[in-house]
Amino acid sequence: MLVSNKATIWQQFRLYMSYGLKIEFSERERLLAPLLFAATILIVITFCFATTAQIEQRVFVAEIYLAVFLALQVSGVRLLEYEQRSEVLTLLCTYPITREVLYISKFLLYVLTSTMMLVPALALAYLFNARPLTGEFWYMLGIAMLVLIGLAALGVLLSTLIMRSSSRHLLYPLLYFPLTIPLLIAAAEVSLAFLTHGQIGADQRQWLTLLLGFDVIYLTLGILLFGELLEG
Amino acid sequence: MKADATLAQCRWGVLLLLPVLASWYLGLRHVGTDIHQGEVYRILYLHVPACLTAFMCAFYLLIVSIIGLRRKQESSLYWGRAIAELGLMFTVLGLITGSIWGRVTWGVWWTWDARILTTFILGVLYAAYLFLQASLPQGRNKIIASSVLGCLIFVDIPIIYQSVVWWRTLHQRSSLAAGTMSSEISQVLYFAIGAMLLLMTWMWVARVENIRMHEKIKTLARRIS
Repeated sequence: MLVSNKATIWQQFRLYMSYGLKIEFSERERLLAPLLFAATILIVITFCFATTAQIEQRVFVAEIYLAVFLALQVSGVRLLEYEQRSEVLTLLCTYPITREVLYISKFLLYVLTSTMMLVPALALAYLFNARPLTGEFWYMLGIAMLVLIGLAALGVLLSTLIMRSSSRHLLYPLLYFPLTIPLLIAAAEVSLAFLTHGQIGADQRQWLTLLLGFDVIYLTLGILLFGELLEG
Repeated sequence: MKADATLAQCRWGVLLLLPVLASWYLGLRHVGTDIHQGEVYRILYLHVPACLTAFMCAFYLLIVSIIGLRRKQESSLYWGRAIAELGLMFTVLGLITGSIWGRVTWGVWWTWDARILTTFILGVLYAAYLFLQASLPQGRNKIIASSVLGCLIFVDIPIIYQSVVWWRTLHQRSSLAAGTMSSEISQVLYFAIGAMLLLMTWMWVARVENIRMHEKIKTLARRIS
């Protein structure tokens, strides 16, 4: 991987993205493991709560976000594993690639691969709960995508933070769980309101703002602090 | 650290403990009983200062982390570790006193209330900070990683503060900020908060000295062995 000194931001970005995509598709389990994990959670929860009609919507929302959250935790903990194992990150630091480009590329890659898990997982959740795949599905996908953006921004930052730690497999969930709670609670409230009323009312707009706010906070912190972590 | 300096530090500690004890005395003896909650409300003079001190620890940790990111000096690790330990201690104290208060007023030791949950998260994050520091080898990366996490922890503070507004919670809104508290109670409470913050600051400085000394002993022991 060669980068000339005159490479534009776009060229740097494209180069790292194409490299990242190759890694993501090089091992099948990198994509399959989170998807299978999400499917398992969906099956277990749907099986356990299918008969209780009065809490159907709440369980539906809970199972979606639980599946997304845990599946991303599985993939997030080893997000930079390949780069670290092959010392690619150390090499990249010597190339004239800005740290912001590296972070945004990694973040977009994570969003892209996680979307490939999210769409089938959400479709499965609709199927298991006997809900029709109508316009509601796309709205729910939109809300879930907002969660995914926040989780991905945080995931890249956290996996960089702990990559040199001897107990990273223990540390990742310890940091990931508490920091993702605001995102998940906000998403659950917005989704519940949407499923109940068919729209997002004025009361739920503050939840949506909170969700978007956390996406922006985590993304900004990631862009600002990723370079520092990488050079450490 | 010389013996006289240690003695001076101990004297400061005793001196700063006195206002805390005085605030408890005032809270228990001087201030009248609450007409709604009776005597149990007096736990307020320990619960509120402990929680606010835990939040202040997150703010201090943010400052230490920003300095750590800029200067990348090892001393930021000591200051960060010390304040995270204190933050964890005051969070646990706040949760325990809140739990006791909740048992009497709400009838339960613990409930999944937004304010309690977000405060609990703060405790987990302080523990994670300490765990991260312990698991990383000495060096620049340890300073940077700890500082980044120190900045992230502060994100929880506005959520805790706003939790009683955003969610319909069992936990009441801040009577102190709303000004609905009687001046007699609020004056003693302000005094208790100030006293606890001063004590925490002393504990912070003392703990940093303690960590420094511990690191020196470890280095010496390594050289000898």
